[in-house]
Amino acid sequence: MMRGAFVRLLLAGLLGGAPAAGAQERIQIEVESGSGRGYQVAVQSFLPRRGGFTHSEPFHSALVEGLNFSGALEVVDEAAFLEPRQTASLRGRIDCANWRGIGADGLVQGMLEVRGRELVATYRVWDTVRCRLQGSVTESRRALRERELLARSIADEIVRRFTGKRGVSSTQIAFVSDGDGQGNKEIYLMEADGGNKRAVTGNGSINLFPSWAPDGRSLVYTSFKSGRSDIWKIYRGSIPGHPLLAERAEKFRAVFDARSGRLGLVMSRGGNTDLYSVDASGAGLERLTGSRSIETSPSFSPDGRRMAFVSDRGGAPQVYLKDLGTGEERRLTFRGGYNSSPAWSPTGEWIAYTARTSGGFDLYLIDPDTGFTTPLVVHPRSDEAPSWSPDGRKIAFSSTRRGRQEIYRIDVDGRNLVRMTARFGNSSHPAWSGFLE
Amino acid sequence: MISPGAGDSLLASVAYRRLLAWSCAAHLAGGVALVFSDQFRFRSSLPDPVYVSVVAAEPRPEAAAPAAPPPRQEVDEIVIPRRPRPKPASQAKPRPKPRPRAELAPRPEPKPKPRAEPASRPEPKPKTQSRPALDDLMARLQKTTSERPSGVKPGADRDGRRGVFNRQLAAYRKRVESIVARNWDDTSACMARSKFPVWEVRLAASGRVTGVRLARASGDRYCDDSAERAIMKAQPLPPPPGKVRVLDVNFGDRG
Repeated sequence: MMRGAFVRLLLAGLLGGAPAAGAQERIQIEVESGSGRGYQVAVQSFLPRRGGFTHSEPFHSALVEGLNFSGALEVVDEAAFLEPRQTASLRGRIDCANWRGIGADGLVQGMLEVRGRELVATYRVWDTVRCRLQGSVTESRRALRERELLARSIADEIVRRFTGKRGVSSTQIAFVSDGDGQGNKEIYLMEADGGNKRAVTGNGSINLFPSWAPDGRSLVYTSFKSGRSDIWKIYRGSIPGHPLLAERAEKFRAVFDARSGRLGLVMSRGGNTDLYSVDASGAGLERLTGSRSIETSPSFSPDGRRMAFVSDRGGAPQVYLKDLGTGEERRLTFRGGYNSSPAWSPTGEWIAYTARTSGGFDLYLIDPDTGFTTPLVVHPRSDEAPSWSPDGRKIAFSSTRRGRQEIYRIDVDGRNLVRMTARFGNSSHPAWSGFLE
Repeated sequence: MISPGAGDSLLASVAYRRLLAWSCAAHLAGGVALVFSDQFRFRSSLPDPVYVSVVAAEPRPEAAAPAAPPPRQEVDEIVIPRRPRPKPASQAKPRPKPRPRAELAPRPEPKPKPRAEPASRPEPKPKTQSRPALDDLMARLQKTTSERPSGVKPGADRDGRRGVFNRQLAAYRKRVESIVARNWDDTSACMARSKFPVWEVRLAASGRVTGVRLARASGDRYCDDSAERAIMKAQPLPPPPGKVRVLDVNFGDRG
């Protein structure tokens, strides 16, 4: 038999038809797209120690909500657990197969305790697919009254460990609303999920266009409190705000450049409205545009090298780009007769803007390099004033789709539309904060 | 009528004993030679295309190994698991067959048995033919052989085999791509990248992943990680065809 096999092999070799040994051993596989489903993560409630018991349940809820809010991770229903629902220890290994068996790609374990006036959470994150720790055991703490914020911050960090991008559940959104029912437009704050709305200003005047400092510790806004349009600045925990500039000219809006920390300023000098740059303290005023037309709505690229703005120099409001290094300007939008409110995404790949259509205003995305345009939100009523979440996954905007002007958010892929200011007066001009320290 | 005593005296004769001994020895030797000869083996086993068709008839094409240089072992590996129920019966049948050979000596009519043996060997095969998969297999085999141009049999055989193997390979590739893509859950880190990760995946014959290595990094650790997770979650992968044991899994849209 062996001799026969040998003869056949020899013959095949002589005829040249035998595949060379190992010729077929390696093949190429092309995986072009994924499911986009996001990771499934199991969360064991944190083991309460030394006063942590009363905080355990609300902390756990906030943590789960924060993870689900990310859109990148989804928390596995604990009813499916094959292992205990509560963390037993932060030492030793876990049975990855048991967690993989319920579809969990990751596991969060932790402990919670009170130290003085602080709540301290110690946690670790497992990658159950590869059965290894994602990062080291970490301790995180905040004041007791910031229990939910502590949980959301940890949720955002867990999102980062899996996706490389920090979650945004601990960020906030500033917006304009007459929610007090007295007709005044004040600046309000809410959490990224729409909860815990509270007023920032209460001056009984008109306050508009909030914009966050990159560190999230202060915001600027436009106010008519002094009888004319001016830029005010307010720090967290300090009431009231104060004017940013001593300059007498009317100032309509200021927007932070997240890279440099400077502000783009819309100011009218000598009857012409142009764009200026000023540092966060109000000093170092520089002119950015100098045409005879009206320039407004500055928005900076994440690398700080370019600025998008709106100009009517072509006869109607359109979005333009300015290279802040060379000073070169070019028109970006050509479709439609009215395009405004550009908002450069934190990832740099898109500019969201408001376009007037036959039925009102809709939101579009445009690639600043190629000009490729795609609709983001199209509705018979008006959608306006987009603002990006700091991870570039979501956009908040104002809409009149239910009659009153309200704030909504939507994923950048057009899914998961959520109304955020139900029964909260007329609300508009959302400004999503950066990551808060 | 022959009395028992007459028979005994006849058997007891020296000449007859020698004749019987030589006859038994000659038949035994002939039988052994036939059983172990290559010709006998060739005749009693199915030609190679049968093996190829068996695998092609299966819903999972990944188990075939027709391009392997020594295909007989591969055939055994693959065909045997494909007969879960009939296998004990068909294996049990051939085994009793050699026994008659051992019984040749005491029997008075030894001659026809060894000759009948090669003819009776193929008996298990018609039994397995009754199954739909093998019916299909044989039909395909016949079709393949009838379509083959006369006079170029060996080359055409190989070409046909390779063609089938290539089709299996394409099907396997498509299947793996689909499974891994389904398990690639977070592609966000890989978006808007100019480079994409390539993972080298080593497989056992069963399809189990025995090792992975980042052959080319994307430049983003989280993108590379998401791709590795996709591979690990895709387990068990289908058994690879032939001698395929390494996959270069290229992630990302190259369009």
